[in-house]
Amino acid sequence: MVNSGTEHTVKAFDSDINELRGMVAEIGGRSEQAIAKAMRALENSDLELAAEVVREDKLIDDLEKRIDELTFQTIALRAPMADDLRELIATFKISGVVERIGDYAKNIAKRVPLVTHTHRLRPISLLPSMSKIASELVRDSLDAFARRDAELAMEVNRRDQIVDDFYNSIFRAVITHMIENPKDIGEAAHLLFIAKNLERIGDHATNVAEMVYFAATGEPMPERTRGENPTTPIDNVPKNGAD
Amino acid sequence: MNDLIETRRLPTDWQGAEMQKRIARRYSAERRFKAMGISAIVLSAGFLAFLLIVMVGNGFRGFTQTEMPLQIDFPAVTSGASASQFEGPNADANLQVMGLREIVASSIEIQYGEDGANLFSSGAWTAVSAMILDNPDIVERKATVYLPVSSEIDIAYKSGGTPAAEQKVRQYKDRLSTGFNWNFLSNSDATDPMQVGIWGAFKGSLITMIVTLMLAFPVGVLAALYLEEYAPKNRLTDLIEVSINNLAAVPSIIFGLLGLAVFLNFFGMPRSGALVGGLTLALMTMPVIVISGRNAVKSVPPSIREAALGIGASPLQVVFHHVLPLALPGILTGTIIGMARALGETAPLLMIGMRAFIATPPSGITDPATVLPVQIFLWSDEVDRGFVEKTSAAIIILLLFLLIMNALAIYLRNRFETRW
Amino acid sequence: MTDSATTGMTTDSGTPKMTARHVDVFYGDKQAINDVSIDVNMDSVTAFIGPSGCGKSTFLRCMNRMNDTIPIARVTGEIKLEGEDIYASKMDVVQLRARVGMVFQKPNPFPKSIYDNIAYGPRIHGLATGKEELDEIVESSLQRAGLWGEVKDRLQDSGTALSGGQQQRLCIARAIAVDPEVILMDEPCSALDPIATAKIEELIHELRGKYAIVIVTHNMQQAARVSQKTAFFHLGTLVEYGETTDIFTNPREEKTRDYITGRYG
Repeated sequence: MVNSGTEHTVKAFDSDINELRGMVAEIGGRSEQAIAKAMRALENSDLELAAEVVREDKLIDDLEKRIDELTFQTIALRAPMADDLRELIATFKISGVVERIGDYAKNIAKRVPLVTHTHRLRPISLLPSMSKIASELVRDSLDAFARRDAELAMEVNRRDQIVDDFYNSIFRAVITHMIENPKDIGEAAHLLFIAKNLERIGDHATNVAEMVYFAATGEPMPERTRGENPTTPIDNVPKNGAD
Repeated sequence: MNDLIETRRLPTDWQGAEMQKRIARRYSAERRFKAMGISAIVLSAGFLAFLLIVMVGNGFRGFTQTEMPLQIDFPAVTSGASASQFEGPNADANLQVMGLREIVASSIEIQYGEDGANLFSSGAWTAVSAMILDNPDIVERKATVYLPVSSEIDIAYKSGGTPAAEQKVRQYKDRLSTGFNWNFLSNSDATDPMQVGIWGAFKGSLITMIVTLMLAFPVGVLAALYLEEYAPKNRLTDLIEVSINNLAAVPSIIFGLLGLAVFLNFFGMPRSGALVGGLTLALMTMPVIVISGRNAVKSVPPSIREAALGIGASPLQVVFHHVLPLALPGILTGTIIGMARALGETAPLLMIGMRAFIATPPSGITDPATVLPVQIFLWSDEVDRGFVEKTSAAIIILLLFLLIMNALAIYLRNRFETRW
Repeated sequence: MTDSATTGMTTDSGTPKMTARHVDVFYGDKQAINDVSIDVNMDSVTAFIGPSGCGKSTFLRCMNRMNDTIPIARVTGEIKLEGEDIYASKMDVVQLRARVGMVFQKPNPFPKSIYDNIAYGPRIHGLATGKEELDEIVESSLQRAGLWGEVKDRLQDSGTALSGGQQQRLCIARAIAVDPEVILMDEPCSALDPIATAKIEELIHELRGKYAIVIVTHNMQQAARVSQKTAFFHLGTLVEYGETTDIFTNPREEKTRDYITGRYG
């Protein structure tokens, strides 16, 4: 059920809610930017850009704190009910989730200086596509929140599968490479972590989508199996480098 | 919704000259009103004071009587009567036969000469018989009794009368004294102003009031309760309400005609009796009780009724357990006001004949009786100057009666007043 | 207009104490209640909410036939107490009102002593056979209403000398004294301060289960705190009726949602 768009009789309530929506949009935008910048820094080995991402994560953290404060205040003062209450609870959780997305982007940026020679590593070429999709998931889930679009939220939930599939491929490829080129293990490990971060970003986007669905409909989103499946045996990997 | 119209209003200058003028005008209006209120009160109080002063001034002398001493040698004139004859059951009989009137007359003649009879009131001997009953020993000795003088002497002594009477006053100046006229309070009507009393009229008023109350109060209260609580709100009820309101405004003499036509002529009830008087006055008082009763019932807050209904009280229980106790002070006040009005009514009672000369107080509701206002009216008509002060004295008694009734009303109202 | 919202009719806790089906109320020509059907259960507190003039108080007063005192009021439809139609000619209104008690918005104790306030109902219905039994009823009613401790030493004091909150609890005790099955409360806390209100809400919580309670309130938070079932009235119609939690977290009807979130068009 979508909001009828009618305003609250107490206008200050509306302005509080609008302020919160604005702040959620902002924190979402910043996190998306952080992902993009971190990936660009990775591609170009741009250490300065990476450092910028790390610095700007502080802004994301502060924004999350402000969102929490305002949400808390609004709940205390406005005694919200029904969809207003659901929206505020969702705002609370979403801001925390998005802040963690920002942290993952920071984490990626931190690994940039440690991955200077990875151009040789083939799996690295998959990362930009993966990050693009993950980024889109973040953007779409926040759009769904802004528009109270439960369908879009469900779609985000489904598309996360793609990110998970990406991760699985990259995982297998990197492990293979590590077995074949043990001297690259260090960098390859970082690559794995980066891929993992992107996969987690995708998962968090689905968390946001679940919250959006609940806020919009009042029901929890129907379950979907998610996550990577690292226990799948990697068939063609010989043990101990032996043939 | 919240777009307030921005008016081009200048900020209000509360301290400016215009405002000061308004304030001054307002204060002077308040002062004027207060002054008018106070002068209205002073004027009314003034009239009341004037009335009281005039009445008391004229009437207090009605409570006093001029007396002269008379020596009666009882043993000599009664040829040895003994005190015991006038004690016990035979006292009255013995008094009758002893010929007290002649005894007193002869004693007067002995002491004051032939003319002496004119000095004393013709009923003076009755005072002696009262004294004997009070104090039988008196018949065994010579006694000096103080007897009331005749009316002319009384008037001449108090305020001036005929030249002859004044001359007598001068003559016996040192023997005349003033005493309290107890007879005024215990006697009934008489031809001699020295002997009249208000007791007959007072008792008549009392009995009439009781009859009125017995009839008007229950009927009035029940009618008020029914009209307010039960009667449906339709044209018929409106008609009844209008009729009762008008009935309260009908001149009282009309009720007298009603009483004459219905009670006396149609029903043939005893004329001059307190019964008919009470019935007529009840007809007159009932609308007043109904109106004040209705107002009292209306002023009971509906929350009390709702509370009682909510607990499962029947409409009858609501009325008698809750509404009536709370309305009672108002009802009582209205009743006493109605009764006080009835007490002072003269015209209707004159029409039904309660104007006879009543020499003995009534003993039942069918005995001929009169009431205080009528008595006052009759006395004021008398020629004898001695009745003037008696009339005023009777008015004072009537006012006292009314005062007591009102005090009773206030007392009852305060006692029954429950705060809610 | 819309069909009556008979949702929630199948109760989850046995037969309902009072049922209403297709009730209409007219004041002269003006219709105040439009086709309302609802159940009231023994073990839940039911709240009636809605904006001013929506008919919640009017409907409440139908349940103990207090609307009979208004000459131009006309009630059609069926309201049953334990299966008996309360508007049938053989139903004694006086006894109905003892079985279905009412507490009003403004506390209205009788101008009598506290003892007599409570004892009046049992006396007129003949519920006590002697002074001792009457004393017991008075004490237990006051205890149930949470007032005994405060007034046990001054039962002869006037009922109107108590504070507002105490007076309202006295009125509740008075209603309890006649052993009702249902207690109707018409905005019982509107005239009280927050502490007195909280005490009454706690009292309602304690009474739940012993009596079927219906409370009309214009304070939504109170309805949310106190009731298990909530009915939303709007312009004389029952718009939505359901579990209180559902109504306040995820109402089905738009009008309900607009009302409880404070969006009046």
